[in-house]
Amino acid sequence: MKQKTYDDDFIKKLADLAISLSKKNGASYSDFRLSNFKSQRISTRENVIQGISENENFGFSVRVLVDGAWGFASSSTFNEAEVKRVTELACGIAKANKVIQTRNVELVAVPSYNDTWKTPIKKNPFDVSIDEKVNFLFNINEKAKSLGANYCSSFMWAVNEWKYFVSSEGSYIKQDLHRIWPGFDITIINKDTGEFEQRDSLTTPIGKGYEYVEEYDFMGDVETAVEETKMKFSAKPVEPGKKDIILDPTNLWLTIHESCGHPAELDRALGFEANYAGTSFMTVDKLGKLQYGSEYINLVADRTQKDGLATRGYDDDGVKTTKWDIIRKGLFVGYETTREMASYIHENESNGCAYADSWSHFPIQRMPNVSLEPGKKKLSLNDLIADTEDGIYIVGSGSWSIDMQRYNFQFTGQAFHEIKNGKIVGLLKDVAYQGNTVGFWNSCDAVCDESEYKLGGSFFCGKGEPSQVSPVSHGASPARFRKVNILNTSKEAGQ
Amino acid sequence: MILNESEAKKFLEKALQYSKADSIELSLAGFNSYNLRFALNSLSTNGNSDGLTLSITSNIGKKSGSVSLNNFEGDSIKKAVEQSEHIAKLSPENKEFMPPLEPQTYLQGVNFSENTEKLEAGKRANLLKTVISESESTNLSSAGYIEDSVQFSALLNSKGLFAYNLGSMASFSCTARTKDGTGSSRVQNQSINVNNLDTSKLGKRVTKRAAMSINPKEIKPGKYTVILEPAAAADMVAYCSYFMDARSADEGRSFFSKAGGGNKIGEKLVDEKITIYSDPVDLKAPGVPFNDEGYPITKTTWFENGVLRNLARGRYWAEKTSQPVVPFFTNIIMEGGTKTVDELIASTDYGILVTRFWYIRTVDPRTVLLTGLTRDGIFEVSEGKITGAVKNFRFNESPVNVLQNVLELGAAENGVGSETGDTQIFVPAMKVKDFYFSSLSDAI
Repeated sequence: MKQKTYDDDFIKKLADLAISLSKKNGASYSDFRLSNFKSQRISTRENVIQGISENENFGFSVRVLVDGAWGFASSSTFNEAEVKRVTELACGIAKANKVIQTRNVELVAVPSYNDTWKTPIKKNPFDVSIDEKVNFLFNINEKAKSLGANYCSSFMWAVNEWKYFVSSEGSYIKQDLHRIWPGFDITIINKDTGEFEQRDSLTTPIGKGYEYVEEYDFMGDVETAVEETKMKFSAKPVEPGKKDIILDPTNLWLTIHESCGHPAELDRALGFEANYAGTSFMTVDKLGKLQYGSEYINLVADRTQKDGLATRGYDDDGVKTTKWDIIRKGLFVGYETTREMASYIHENESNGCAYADSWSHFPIQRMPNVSLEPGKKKLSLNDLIADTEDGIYIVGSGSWSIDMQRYNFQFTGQAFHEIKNGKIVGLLKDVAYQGNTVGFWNSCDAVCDESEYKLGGSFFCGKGEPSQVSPVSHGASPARFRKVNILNTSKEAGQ
Repeated sequence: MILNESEAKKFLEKALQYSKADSIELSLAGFNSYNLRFALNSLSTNGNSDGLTLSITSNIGKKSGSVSLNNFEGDSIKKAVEQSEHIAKLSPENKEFMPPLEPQTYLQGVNFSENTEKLEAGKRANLLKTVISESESTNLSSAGYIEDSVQFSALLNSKGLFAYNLGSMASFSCTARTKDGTGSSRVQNQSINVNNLDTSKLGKRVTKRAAMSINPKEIKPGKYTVILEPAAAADMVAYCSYFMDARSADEGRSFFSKAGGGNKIGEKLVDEKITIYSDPVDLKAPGVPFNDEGYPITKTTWFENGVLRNLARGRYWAEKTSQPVVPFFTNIIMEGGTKTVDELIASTDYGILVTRFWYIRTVDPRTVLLTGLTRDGIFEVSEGKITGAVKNFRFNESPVNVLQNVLELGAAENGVGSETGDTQIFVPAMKVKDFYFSSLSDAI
């Protein structure tokens, strides 16, 4: 389904109208964003369709800077009269809110661009027929049931984000972004005892087209998932205490997200998220000084990363995307910034992290793809396991929680493999690992090489008021962390 | 964009006429909202947004397809209806298909206030000005948010069901942090009526609490008697509600499942002081009196004197199990006692006063084990007095345990948790024994 398509000349005419009218109303800066967020979601359980829906969310916004204060207004009705109304409203809002503006907004400079950027997908998921997708999901459910799962739910979610950005600084940027997220979860129950065990798939949301669905070994994942879930019933409960852990990329991505991606957001470090998502222990005085992790830790921000969910040509300030270090050899060396935030630390350029999840939301600073560079020396996962005397290899992401300054975290996973004397000897259950960020990353003594590198990610990183979501990827190879605090979650529940 | 009842009905009837399906269900939702955000004692972002979204579900036999759109120029609506029918034709039959409902009777909603609708830009900014001034005068750095909105929802289906509700919501929150970074406190309130947000009073409370929260001392993790203020209590009660689904329980994959089959309805699961219900037209926490299928929502008791009375049950599962339909929580109201928080403190020999929780996530659905942190003010109470601030903790605890271990309930009031979203919650502060703090956090 397509919403009404406007021709390019018409869009440009209204965008230019918004910019010129903003200037007349006293704006020193203004931008116009027109966007259409299209999504298709199919969800099933066993042999039942739970829902097939297609949604389009279309609208525009005008953002202005008048006398150092922001004003923002938006609408889903797109015509000349409405563009005029919304522009004047944005300027009026800026002027009315000046009474509580004690510090003028300053923006670092940005060149102007006239450009188009598209996610380089091979197969558009919206061109794939619904019955093909439904049959695919039913096959997963059927396979899981045939192997012994009592319940299996599966889903497929595709998003296309089209946007057009025009600024008073002369930029005209069009972008067409794609992402996809398929997955399943299984449950096996023991009716007599009332116990049940679950396992999610190890798929990831990713900045690709339907080719991801065709490339991923779903049936292999289903077989492993059912087998591991059965094993969980009789798996040995973990003994709490300090243990060495190896985190698979399917788990480590979330640890990177929570304990590096978020505290390195400059707006958070300065206090702009204090009322909601919190602040950061990575304060400005620690830049260039904090030994965040061991020498093996190189965490890189990259909005140009192949297949990344946060990958695009330009951010929502019109800044061309780039790649930069956050942590280099364990040292904290860089923040994530926007045009406004960069000015607070006297940087001359933004590194392009502005994003709004909708035409109706003000663009705020969001996380870029942040990934752990693979180890330079040859080291496979099997090598790393063989090198570990007594540990746990953790696969898949489960529960997650971290405090409001990003120190204390607790994570679980989908499967926990016990390692003894360099070999996997069985599954453990009821495992959670709890740590403090700097101690944890400094305990890393090995990172596998590039051959083991995988992307993980989320469609729904949450932040801001009103709350916004943002898609983001994190790549890693398996890595080992020494003497991490392991909890037994059943014992925690019985405390 | 806000349409009145008559306008909404006309809009939906126009969409209905394009349908060639066996049945169609239409939903229209509109909103107009303003927000202002501030940080470091100054305006940060703000906005107004105005929108209207039409959702269409077409049914052909037992096959369904859904589409939504928010741009209505030209023949967009006709094309969207056609697309929903196209999707339905391509879909397999839904073995759990339920036909659209017949016309229903609804309670009259009480969730709208003209005061919120008419709030002007200047007054909105001034509501924050008093709070920011209070923070500046007490050498604090404040951040906060105010949002006011009007929204409507309307349903129409091919069997003649029509429902309409107009609502409003105003919410305010503020975090005050000391400049030395050792103290933080937060206040929040929400109401359908913006005039009920006394930002001046809240501003005074948050600055007073911030001053109390500085230089917290470290105490050991472990089990403690806690006094959960309504913001913290709201999170515990809301999280318990998220697991209260009859189908999951009957299928054996929920805490509320019974060994051997069935669910725990009728069992005493929590302390007898606990009575929790929903009622969309209760002015303590008004909500929408119908769900997204148009099923009427009336008063539902979830726990009564500690006994589990209901689990949420959709139409398909109700029919399959010959049990009544029980729509999910539209709001949460918990009966309380008469004491203020100060009186609960005064009657406590030793305990910990918790302002609110943060980043709560499920660790184990089998036991409803949650993890999360305390935040924005946690205080040691000894011999009936607050003796000082303590460092924040991570907790690993179950809301069912919390409700089992209640010692005393305060007077119920509006509670806004960190994970409660837009759900209106009216809960008492709770004194609870043996709440498990599992580890310390350095975060302020």
